[in-house]
Amino acid sequence: MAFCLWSFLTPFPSWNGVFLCFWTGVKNALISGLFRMGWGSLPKGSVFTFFTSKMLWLYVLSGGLVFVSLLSALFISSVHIPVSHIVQIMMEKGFGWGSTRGIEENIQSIIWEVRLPRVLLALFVGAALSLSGAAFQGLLRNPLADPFTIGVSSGAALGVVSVIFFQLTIFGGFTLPLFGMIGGLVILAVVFALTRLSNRSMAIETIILAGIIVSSFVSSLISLIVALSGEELRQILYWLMGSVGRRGWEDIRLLLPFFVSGSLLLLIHHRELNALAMGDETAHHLGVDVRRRRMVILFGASLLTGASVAVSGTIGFVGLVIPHLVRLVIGPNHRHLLPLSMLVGGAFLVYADLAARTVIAPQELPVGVITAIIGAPVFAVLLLRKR
Amino acid sequence: MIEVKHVSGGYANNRSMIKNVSFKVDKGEFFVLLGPNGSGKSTLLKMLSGVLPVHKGEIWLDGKPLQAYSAIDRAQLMAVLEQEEQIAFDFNVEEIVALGRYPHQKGLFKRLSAEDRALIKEAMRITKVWPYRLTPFRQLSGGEKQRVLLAKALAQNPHILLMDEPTNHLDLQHAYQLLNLLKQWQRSKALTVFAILHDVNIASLYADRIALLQEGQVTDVGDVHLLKNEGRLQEVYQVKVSHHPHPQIPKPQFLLSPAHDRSPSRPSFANLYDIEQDHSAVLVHFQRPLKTFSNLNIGSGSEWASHFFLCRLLHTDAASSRQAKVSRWLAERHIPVGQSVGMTANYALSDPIILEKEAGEKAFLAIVTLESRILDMMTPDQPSAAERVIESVQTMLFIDGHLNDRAFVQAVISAVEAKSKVWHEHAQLVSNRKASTRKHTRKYSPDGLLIAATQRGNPVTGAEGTAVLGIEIDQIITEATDVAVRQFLGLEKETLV
Repeated sequence: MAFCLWSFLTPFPSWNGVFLCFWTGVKNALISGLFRMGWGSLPKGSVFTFFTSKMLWLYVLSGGLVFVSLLSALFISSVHIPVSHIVQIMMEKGFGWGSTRGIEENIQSIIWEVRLPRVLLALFVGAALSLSGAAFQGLLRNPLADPFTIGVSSGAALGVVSVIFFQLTIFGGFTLPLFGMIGGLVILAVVFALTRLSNRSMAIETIILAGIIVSSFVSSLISLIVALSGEELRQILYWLMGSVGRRGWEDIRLLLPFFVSGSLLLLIHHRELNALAMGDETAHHLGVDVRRRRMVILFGASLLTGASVAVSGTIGFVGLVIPHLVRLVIGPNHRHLLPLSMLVGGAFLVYADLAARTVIAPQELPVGVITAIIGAPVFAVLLLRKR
Repeated sequence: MIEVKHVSGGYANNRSMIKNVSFKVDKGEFFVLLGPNGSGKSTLLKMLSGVLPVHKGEIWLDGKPLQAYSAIDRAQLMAVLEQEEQIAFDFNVEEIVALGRYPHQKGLFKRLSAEDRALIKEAMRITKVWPYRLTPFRQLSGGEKQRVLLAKALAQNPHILLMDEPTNHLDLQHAYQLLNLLKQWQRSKALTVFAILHDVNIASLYADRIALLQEGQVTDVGDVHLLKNEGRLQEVYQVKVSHHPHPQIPKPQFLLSPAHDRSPSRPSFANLYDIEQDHSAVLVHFQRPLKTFSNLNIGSGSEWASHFFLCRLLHTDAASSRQAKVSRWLAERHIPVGQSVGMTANYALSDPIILEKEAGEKAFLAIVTLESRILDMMTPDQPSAAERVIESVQTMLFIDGHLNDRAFVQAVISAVEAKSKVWHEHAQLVSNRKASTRKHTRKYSPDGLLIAATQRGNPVTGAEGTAVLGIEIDQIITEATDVAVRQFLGLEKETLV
């Protein structure tokens, strides 16, 4: 749905025919998935086969979506570079195959040093936010939960905003993302502590409540900093709206360990997430160590959220809408929901970032604005359909 | 298999819901915990499943203390079937049942093995949820949901199954299907079942042993027959309970007596009934049902009925059964079949003798009629003599009084003794005068007897009360039978001894 809207929103000046074909296929599959076959009654996989043919097709589709999104995001820009050059550069720089002779140095640098990190960052952040959103929704048994519900992203934002406001440079270029990361984890610890103190069994209602308390407190601190700030105001606001622009390989290097460990942590807990969706007591009876697993999953989801917010600011709606969308198509089984949310979320944010920098080019929009512009109506439709 | 040793505990705030409870459940046993709401049944079950803390004492499962088990080991040993659960998101049936394999899945990727899949399939087949395995759980009915949750618990392949009121949302059919299934599984796999049931009768039918929980303490443990102690049940549940044998299996069943049935007005016994008579039948209609005990051929045994009849059905429609004929006969008179007890005779009925009598608090109504037929006695000395022969004596005795089972049996004995006494006297008389009479007292059909009691007033209690009742019955039945036989034989009162 989001992608259908997207195709109308974005002008593709020199769209390659092959891409167009593939894109049309993807779009039609999604449209047919959502409309023709009815919402929520779709190829729910059988546990007896890992891949039903529909499920396999959806994985292929999502993978294709990611691939196409990457290539098109690399391709479309104010500076025209032929696809063949892009492929050549990727092959040479990435795998050491072929050569880049005959391609200007600055073109190579635009693709490799500017566009690729930005696109990859969008992919990783989108994937991380969607995955952690899916995990938060499953864990909190609340379809309205997202990475922002329990305040981890607010904590990360507070960390980053403090760095900008106080102009801290303790760790050089890494100061900003590191403080973001630390802020997120500190808030997670505070939420844990609050929850433990009021209710030893870590009931989800208590977690949500503690998260809301902490995140509104942190939000007011951010507002306070915004109110007190002078010339940093624009930088802070722009950052708060979220963006993956002007990022380099070092941001990816910073994000990657958290991304990999957080994703692994969540992906291996798909059975626990399924069990926890049945309720705490049922999960306990099934042999899940509810308290510990919940903390581990929250930790993993917070790693992803905190790291994403630390490098790209608060990008809303990806973590809320993408897992929803995927769940509508494939059902709630976390075994498929988690990886497919990653793929779709990553591709979505790559496209959103592409829109952010092409809609009013040469100026850029914050990508968080785009995701909310697309995400809010989509979410409204979902809510109405659900009713 | 389950050993509970002096256990106290419950919700976290140090207030122990369960106080010093001890009992033992053997391997392969169906153990049921009974008790009123708020007695701590669910709390105890949650302590067994490890959800709630044990403050004092120990719970042992399969020879190991509960806390020595890891979550996975515990789940391999024990599954829990709860009341209908709130499940987030639209999981389908198969995905939920597959979760039952969670504690058994091994390896890094925790994939379902072939064995896992076989067990999931078996669990779904046996609980009959296989046809809708791809249906979302939320779209199922309450009974189907409960079966899905049972399938999940069985897929866990447990040695111990804990259940908290598993039949709560189920109708009669599904409740019994579920319990039959469990009983079967319990027997075939030596499954130990620990269940909370709120229905004492279902508990009695399925439990091997029961425990009664009252205010957090187990007061009785043992065979279901211990529930026959009505005083205990009344004490625990605070309601009046009577027990009753199950008609087919040797288990007690328990019945409640509602308070509203006692009507304050108390019309006299004579105003309670109407008697209707025609050439082939006598009918007694009561305003309210009477408890009856009879061997009459329609509605025999123990019943509650308002309409009583003795009639002769003519053989106009040979094809239909006796039951069908009676139903039609009753329908013509606007009498509901289910509230009627009576006898249909094959032969002519004599005019009924109707006697009423009052004795202190009690009142009696006796109706006696004789069934007789013409018998061709092809004997050498009297080749063509047609004789009238008594086939049977039908007696209905209505008592205005409150009779327990013992008094009913006493009433039957007294009525039969009285009738036999009269019978033998007359038989003597008749055989002495055989030459001069053409009527005989030979019986070919069984006699019928109905005792019906209004069940109001003070209950007949003790041996003495029963004996007094017996004497009253003896008097009225003797008189009624005597008059009936004499009338049949055409004897004058003076000729009798």
